[in-house]
Amino acid sequence: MRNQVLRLLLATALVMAGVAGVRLIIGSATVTRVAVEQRFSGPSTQHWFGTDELGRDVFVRTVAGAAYSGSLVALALAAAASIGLLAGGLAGLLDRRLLARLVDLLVNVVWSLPGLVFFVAVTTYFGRGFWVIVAAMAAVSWVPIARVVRLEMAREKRAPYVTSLRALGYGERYVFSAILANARAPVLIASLSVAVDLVAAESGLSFLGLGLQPPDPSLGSMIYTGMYYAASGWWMTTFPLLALLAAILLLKAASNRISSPLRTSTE
Amino acid sequence: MLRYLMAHAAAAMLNVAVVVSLVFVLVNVLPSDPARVRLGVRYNERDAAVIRSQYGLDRPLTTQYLLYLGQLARGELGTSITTGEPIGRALRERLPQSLVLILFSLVWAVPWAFLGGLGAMRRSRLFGIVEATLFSLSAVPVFVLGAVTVFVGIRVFGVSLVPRDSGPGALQFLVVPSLLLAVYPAFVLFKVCRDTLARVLGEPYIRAHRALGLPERTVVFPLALRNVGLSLLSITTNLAAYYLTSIYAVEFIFSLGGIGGWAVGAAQNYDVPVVLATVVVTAVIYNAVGIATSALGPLIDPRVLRA
Repeated sequence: MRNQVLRLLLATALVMAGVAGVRLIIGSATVTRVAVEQRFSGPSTQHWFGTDELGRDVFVRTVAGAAYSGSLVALALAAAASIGLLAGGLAGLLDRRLLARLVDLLVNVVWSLPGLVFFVAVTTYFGRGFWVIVAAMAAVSWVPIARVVRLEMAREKRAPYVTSLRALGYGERYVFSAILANARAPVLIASLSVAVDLVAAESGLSFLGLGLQPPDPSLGSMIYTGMYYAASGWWMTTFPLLALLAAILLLKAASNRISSPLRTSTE
Repeated sequence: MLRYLMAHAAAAMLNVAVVVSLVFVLVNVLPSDPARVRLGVRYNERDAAVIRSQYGLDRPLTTQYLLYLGQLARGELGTSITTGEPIGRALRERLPQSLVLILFSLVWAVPWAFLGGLGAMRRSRLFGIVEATLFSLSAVPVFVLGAVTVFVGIRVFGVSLVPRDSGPGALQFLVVPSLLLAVYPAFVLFKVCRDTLARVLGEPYIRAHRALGLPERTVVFPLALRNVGLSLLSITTNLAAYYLTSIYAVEFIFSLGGIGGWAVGAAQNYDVPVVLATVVVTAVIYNAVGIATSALGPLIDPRVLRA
């Protein structure tokens, strides 16, 4: 089980590193290089995935779009997990005190508005930059993680090993980190399902024209343009779409695989 | 019962109040300049001043907040800055169109709940295959399903599924969008009914009822259904959130006239009042669904009240 998860995380890291590597080799200039005389040309040895409506290379743009989506989701997820761990951990530990109630209130408020509606509002108001989207997604995604951590905390803090640690004279900070360490598995599960949602939300936002703005590529906006010019060529939609589907289905399968044995063992 | 309801209603209203206030804070307090965002590289002081006075940004904050609350209470949500149309009226026109689309999609989705129930009673591999297929389909974001459908329509069948001009009430334009919207709900309904019913039918009290020779159709089955009802109730808010966000993509792709496509168009034009109005309306609808489900809970299972 642990092996499987490790291997999976390693594979994800490798794929991301690969995309990042190719992205670095490509460089920024090629991504938006326009060649109108070559527009709508199909896949060839020169342009592996063909070219789009402005003659830009679809392969180059797919890699750049994947790198963009991947780094955005990774950053948002890292921020969300940190906030979720801290807020959920403190709330679980301090049950019923002011801080815990404040966390609960925030959790309820965030859950009372579907994420996408919030993202659309934030990006309309603050502009459609990379960091705005990262911040908006982190601001929503810490909630499911915090909930999991809070429940885990509330249950674990009565466990015998916690009493023992306290009796042995360990400080509260040490006890806190010991309990958090035990909440690793549920946090991993929650984070993976958050990752699936974020990949879908980011590409959806770009698809609607509300994510990264042209001429910079993202998988969602490429799928939209490809759909718009569907009559002029199949390659513009197909390749970014396959890349997005592969990412989503892989993450989804991974989150299913690691959550099913864990759930049965904890119930 | 009354206390339980009041507590849930109060919690939901608090949520809405916080969202409404957050929207206000977003517009008025945080150090962002919508005039700058909207004008971008074309920024100049004169146009910016016009936009600021359109947003009411030149008045004191407390006045702005009170004015805003008063307007909301009267159902006035401001005017669109791109079309100049009153937002309240536009909403009353568009909300029913989204509602028709959602109801249409539920017509496709609800039968899968019964199929799921059937799957719990008959052990057949077919239901496992159905569930796996629905699972993979529902894992695909709805905008991808829509894009693929439009793409295949054009490439393979040579038809454009996007109507040039779809007035309200053109039901034939809703067939494909509502089908796409129904994929995820169909999966959730199928799975929840199948899992819950299978679990309940295996429980000791059902076995005891059967052992006593009580009739299957009038005693055992209704007992089991009660549990299914509770599970269905627990996914209602999940489905509400799904529909409230999925209509954005689906109405946008098929250029339908509901609130989703409207919100997307407004966001593309940086029409802040319209976008914020959709946030408020979504929060109200979503929390109203929440209150409704928590009110139905104790009717199905009185134990909810004691929790």
